Amino acid sequence: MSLDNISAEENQDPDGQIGTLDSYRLLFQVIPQLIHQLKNHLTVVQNAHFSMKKALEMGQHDRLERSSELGILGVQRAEMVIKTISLLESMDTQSILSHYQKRYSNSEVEIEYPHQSPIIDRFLAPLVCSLEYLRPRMIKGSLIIISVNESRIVIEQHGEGEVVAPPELNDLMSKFYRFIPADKGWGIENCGE
Amino acid sequence: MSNSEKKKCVLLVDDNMDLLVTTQEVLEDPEFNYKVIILSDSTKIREVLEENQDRIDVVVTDLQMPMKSGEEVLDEVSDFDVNLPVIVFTGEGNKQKNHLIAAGAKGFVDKADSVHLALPNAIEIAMSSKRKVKGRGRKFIYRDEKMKQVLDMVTKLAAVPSPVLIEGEPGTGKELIAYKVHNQRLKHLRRAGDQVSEKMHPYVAVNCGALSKTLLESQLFGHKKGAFTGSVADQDGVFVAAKRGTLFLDEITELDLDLQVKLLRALQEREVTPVGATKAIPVHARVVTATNRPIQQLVNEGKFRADLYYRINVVSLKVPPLRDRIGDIQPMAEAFLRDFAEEYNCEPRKLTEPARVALESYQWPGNVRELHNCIERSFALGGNASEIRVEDFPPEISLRFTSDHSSDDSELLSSFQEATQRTTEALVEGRSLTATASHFKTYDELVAEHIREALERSRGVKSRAATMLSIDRNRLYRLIEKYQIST
Repeated sequence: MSLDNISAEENQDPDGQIGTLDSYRLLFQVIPQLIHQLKNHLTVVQNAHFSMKKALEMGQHDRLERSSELGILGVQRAEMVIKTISLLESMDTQSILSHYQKRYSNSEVEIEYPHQSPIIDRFLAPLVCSLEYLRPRMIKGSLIIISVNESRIVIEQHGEGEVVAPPELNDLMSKFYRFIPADKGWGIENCGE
Repeated sequence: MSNSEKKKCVLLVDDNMDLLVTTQEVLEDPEFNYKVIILSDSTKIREVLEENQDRIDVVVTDLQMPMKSGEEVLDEVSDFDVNLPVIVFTGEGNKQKNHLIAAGAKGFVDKADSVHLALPNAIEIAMSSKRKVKGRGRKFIYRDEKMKQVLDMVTKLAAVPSPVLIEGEPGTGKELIAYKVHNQRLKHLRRAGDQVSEKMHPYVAVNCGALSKTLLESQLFGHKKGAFTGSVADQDGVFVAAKRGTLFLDEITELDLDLQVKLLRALQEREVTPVGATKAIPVHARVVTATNRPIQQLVNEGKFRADLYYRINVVSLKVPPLRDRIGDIQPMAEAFLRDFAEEYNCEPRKLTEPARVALESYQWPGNVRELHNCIERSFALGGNASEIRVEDFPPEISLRFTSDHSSDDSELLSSFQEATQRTTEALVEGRSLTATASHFKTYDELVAEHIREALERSRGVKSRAATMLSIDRNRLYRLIEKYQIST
């Protein structure tokens, strides 16, 4: 389906907002990033497996313990990424944000977001894109606050370290949304507004 | 690999710490036996390369990193040392493979492949491609701000293929700069998405002072079969051979006035006519020229055509002599020592403190080339010693630096060097350190003042003052007499 066709489907949505199919497709723009993360975790698992094998051969107990810990951690992280992918498919905003809250808290970064906001549902794709972008860039102890401001979403970063500038949106995403830099993060708007 | 062999050192760059630690463990396993340095913050790549000068044999980098991408790391490494191979280790699949290989990556490993199967293989292949290039491909070693400014300018020149004139004393590395101009241009073209190849964008260098007028004309512009005795076939000149790359004309001021006219025409019209031909051939190469003579003065004296000077001097780069960048001497000497240790398969040697001071207090008329030769000589004559001492240097350096130098003298020497530099700068800029509107000091007054200061600082010991001034004692006596300096 061409980009024009995707945009055309927008009109089918009764309130003039982005249709479900388009949101679904937009959400899947994040998948290559998640696969990249998955490969990293699987590499850690493979490396740990190699080291465990060597440690067993050489009777190195410390190395065996360390490698198995890292291997298990790699498996757990890979599971989290796979779960992210399956949640994106469900398109359940609250479950997705709750999952990100958990992933972020593993990196000692907290997220606050409004519960049961219909507006936030309309920004799910750029929100996930923002959270994926921010995750490796946030320093421990930071706080991310997601809020709704009239018809836009605002993502604010609090804590030590410089405020990260918004990412560049890909061609498809930029047909629907724009990121507006702000003091402590960025706002997300529909292109038509 | 036996334990006595030097371990190959891999710098691994990735933002995922677990991946770094586990990959390090795999590569350091006795099965592979590499030494691995890990770096999770790619913005610090330059620092790590500088800290581990010449220790790193290969760089393995992720592509997608939050602060500095793998592509930027590749650029940074190639800027630091064009011969240091880089392998891209990524989870992004092969989509950028061709682009990255064209940009200079020596290997590409997908994270989906097992590290212990794929990475050591890629490392060995990449390292076998590492050539020890002497001359044009050598990396720049500098700390001095003046040299940094020159290299910053070279980077800026990449966007536009304007002619460049490089001026500098013999041995300052003008050809290295020319090659860097060429390399940066190719990098820029690659980034812009152009297809760049060694075949279509070669670097061609000619020394205009090394050939007779007839031969040089033929070499520059080419000739037709039968154009002169011995021309048995058509031959392209370097203008044509350089295609869309870079043509470096060294010692441009040695060019005969007749050839200057032809060169001017080639630059203006962007075409050349081979000797014996009637039809001109279009040319596209960027022309970089260099000279160690005062070209502006030659223009004033009518020995170099003004119109050609303005044509080649669109951008001018002035390479500072080594004596004006004392801070570069020690790192350069140490890098040369490491090179020789590797080349002669010896243990690395270190400079003693007096040796360092001696190097830094010498004037280096032959610049970096002379320093290189001095270090090679001392390395060769130093036997199996672990240190390079003043006595290992050539007489013109060692004799000026007598063995009775105390640490006080080193301090004295260092402060004196500052004074020397200030005075030299003042002389170059045509001003006096204490010049006022009413009195502009003459050259003789400055020299006399300089000698008085040396004598004062050496507490009247003439041999010491002579060492400080980098002249021999007899000359100092003659100068004292000439300027009637009371001692």
